[in-house]
Amino acid sequence: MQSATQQPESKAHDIAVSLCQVSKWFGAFKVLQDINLEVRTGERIVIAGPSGSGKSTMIRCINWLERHQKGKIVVDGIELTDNNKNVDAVRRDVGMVFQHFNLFPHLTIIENCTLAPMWVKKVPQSLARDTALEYLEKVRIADQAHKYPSQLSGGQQQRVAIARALCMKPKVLLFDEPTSALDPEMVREVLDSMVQLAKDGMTMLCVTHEMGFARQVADRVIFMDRGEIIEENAPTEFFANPQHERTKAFLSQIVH
Amino acid sequence: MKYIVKGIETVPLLLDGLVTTLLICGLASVLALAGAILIVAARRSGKRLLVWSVTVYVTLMRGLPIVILVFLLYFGMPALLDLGRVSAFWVGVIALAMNGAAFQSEVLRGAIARLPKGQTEGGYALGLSKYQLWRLVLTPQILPIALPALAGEVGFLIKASPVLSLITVVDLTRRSQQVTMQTFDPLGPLLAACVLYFILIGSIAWASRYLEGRLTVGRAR
Ligand SMILES: Nc1ncnc2c1ncn2[C@@H]1O[C@H](COP(=O)(O)OP(=O)(O)OP(=O)(O)O)[C@@H](O)[C@H]1O
Ligand SMILES: [Mg+2]
Repeated sequence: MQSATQQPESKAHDIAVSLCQVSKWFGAFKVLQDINLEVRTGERIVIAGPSGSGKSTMIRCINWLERHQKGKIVVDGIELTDNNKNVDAVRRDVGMVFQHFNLFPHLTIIENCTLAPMWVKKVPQSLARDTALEYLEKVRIADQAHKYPSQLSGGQQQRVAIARALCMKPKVLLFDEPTSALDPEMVREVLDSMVQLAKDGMTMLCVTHEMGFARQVADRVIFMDRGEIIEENAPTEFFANPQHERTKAFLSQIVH
Repeated sequence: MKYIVKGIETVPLLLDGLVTTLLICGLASVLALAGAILIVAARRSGKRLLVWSVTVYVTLMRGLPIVILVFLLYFGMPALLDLGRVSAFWVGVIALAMNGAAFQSEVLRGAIARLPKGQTEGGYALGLSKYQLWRLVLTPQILPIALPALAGEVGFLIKASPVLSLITVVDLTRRSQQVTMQTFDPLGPLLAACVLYFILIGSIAWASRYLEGRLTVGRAR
């Protein structure tokens, strides 16, 4: 993933995302409590935890969809501050896949995929289309390129959403429960695409309840509860040997 | 039957009134839409004072009979500001625009509320700027939703415009009255005006349906 021609301080970029003492409040309610997290380039992280524990909020802070109020977030060497330039730069580097896909319904699949490259990165249309088709091919959906999102199944839409994010050639991909809105029979096809991405070396942060996926690809599983990271470990250790009571309680509910 | 023929015969006499009505309503509608966009922007700005002022404005406009607004602008304001005579035509345009902006802003607000969830964050997550988001993602979805109601508001402005007869604007309605005075025919000119108003409002409804179809083309939903 790392290009060979980097400056001496390139070591900093071995860390793709770093959160340092990050806190956030919704009104008086503290959603994130002094979060510390470092994600190395190429690392695959699965984030688990009970509903309302702040998983979505945490990853949404990484592309500034939510603002943290305390602490420091650095993405690929760029610190997220009020500075619009930094926010734009980070968003160009960080892709996101949402629970409800958030495709643009008025655009065809291929237009969904070329919009941001053409307008944000000023990629010429023909090149943008080639790239889009390449990624649509990768998620095995290129034959639907000229349909509209509403004409596709949920699983297909989510794979388009993954391709759309990839078209920006992001350095980091965030997933927020990408399979929870899908009918059970469509979960597999989306997970397959994600596994493929993981194999290609993409840096990924996935909030998901798919523990099979976590076992298969995660380098680390992070467990959050009440706005804190209370446990993190390699998946085998995490599942075999949970340390914290709340982790055990959570796993006993979810893994069967 | 006789009256209908007579009405139709009177139509050409009313054409200059029709032109005035068209001009006033056309200008007012465009200004109203621009105003409505500003109102929506102000409402979404999150700046307390701004939000509060436009909310008051919209409430006032929605509650105020349009005749009163016209009189306030034509008689009241010049007296207050010592302006002398003001142009009835432009007062008409401004009054209808002020009123229309309030109603159209509500239409736009409703259309924005009906956008599918997640479009904004979807756009931002891809790196689109706020301007790009509105231009490429939100507006193309708002337009087909808002268009029928916006056309309805334009129709409403046209139907409200005869009130300008009261401040000497020679619009379609007043012109029909003038013709009546000249010809001593109380019915023909009114029927003719009816026909013209119908055609006007009908063609707007038709155009909006046509445009709506064009705008949603291809999108299966
Ligand atoms: N915009 C908001 N305003 C106020 N409170 C919010 C907002 N967004 C989230 N919260 C609250 O913050 C807490 C954390 O929310 P978050 O969505 O991050 O949880 P989560 O771990 O993703 O949960 P889930 O598994 O249900 O998606 C919840 O208690 C939620 O109610
Ligand atoms: Mg969530």
